[in-house]
Amino acid sequence: MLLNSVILVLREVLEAAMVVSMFMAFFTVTNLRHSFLLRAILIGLFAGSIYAFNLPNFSLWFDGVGQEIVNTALHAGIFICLFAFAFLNSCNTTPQSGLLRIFVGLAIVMAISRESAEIMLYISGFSGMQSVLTSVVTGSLIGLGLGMSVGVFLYYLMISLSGPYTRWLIHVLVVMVAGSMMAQASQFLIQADWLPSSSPLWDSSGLISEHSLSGQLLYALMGYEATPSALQVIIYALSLILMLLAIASGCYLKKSAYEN
Amino acid sequence: MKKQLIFLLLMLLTCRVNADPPVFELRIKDHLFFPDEVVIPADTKVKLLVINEDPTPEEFESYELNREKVIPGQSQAIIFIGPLPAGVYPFFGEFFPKTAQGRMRVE
Repeated sequence: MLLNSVILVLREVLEAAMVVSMFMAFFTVTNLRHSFLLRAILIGLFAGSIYAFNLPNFSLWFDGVGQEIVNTALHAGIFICLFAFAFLNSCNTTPQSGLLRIFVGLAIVMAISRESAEIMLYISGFSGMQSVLTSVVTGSLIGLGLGMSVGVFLYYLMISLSGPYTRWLIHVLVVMVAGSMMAQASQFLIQADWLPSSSPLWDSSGLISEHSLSGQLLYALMGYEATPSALQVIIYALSLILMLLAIASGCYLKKSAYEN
Repeated sequence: MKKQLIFLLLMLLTCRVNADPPVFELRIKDHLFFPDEVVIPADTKVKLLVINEDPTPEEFESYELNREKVIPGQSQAIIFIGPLPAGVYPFFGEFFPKTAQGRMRVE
């Protein structure tokens, strides 16, 4: 039970830790106030508990696919926030931190709420089982610690680079995470039968299995699927293009502002 | 030409109405799947009705099927699966993976 808990919690925490650490690094290197990040994390945990508590109710919405639709909305919401962040960050000559903070805060709230809800649901399932509860809680704490260490490691790695490189690396990460969000959103819509399902476009499970550690890390980083459908790949590619367009148009605006 | 188009449209509409996918049942009891092997037809979309009889929540998860869904305790959930080529697709309960193991046989 201990190992299962470690793996399950680690998987959930990794994704959220990556989002939080990349934004923390961004606000550190740009010398902007980032005390709001802690508040966003706490609100995210609160929202997660509401999600977990109400799961039985909203699972029944939309003829039994409410869970998929709520998850799609959360993932698409994070994508929109990352899109806005990428645009605002590229076009700002002087960082206007107000709007940036709103989008970053929202992205963190949504990312943490979804990941924490699953952990809460998992642990709550053992509340009456005293025999295994200790190992489940211990394992979960170890998983949480490991996931957070990865986040801290990433944070220091990013801020140890010089300013422009950090911003460049954060942009790359933001684009990758945004693509992953839309790939997952499309997967939930296919599962809900709101988008058509089709045979996988390829099968790379022989190369990198989703069961393996590298597969799991790639999943957290860029939404890796060994057997994606054509529609998923198209949506993933389109969201990457949209993100690059956001950055390019922001840079263009910045350049024209300089020239005037 | 116009009539043919209308006919085609009607055909498509009826296809949509008739396309209600077949339902297959899967139960979760004592953190085990019953049956542990679900046989479904190849190249057909199916509706998997997962009934969780345990008081604890479980997450139906399968990397091979690209599916994940939390099923709260003592409730049921619908998961659309396929159309899939013939083969064996394992799935598991992420909250109790030691016992909750099953597979989908597509033939």
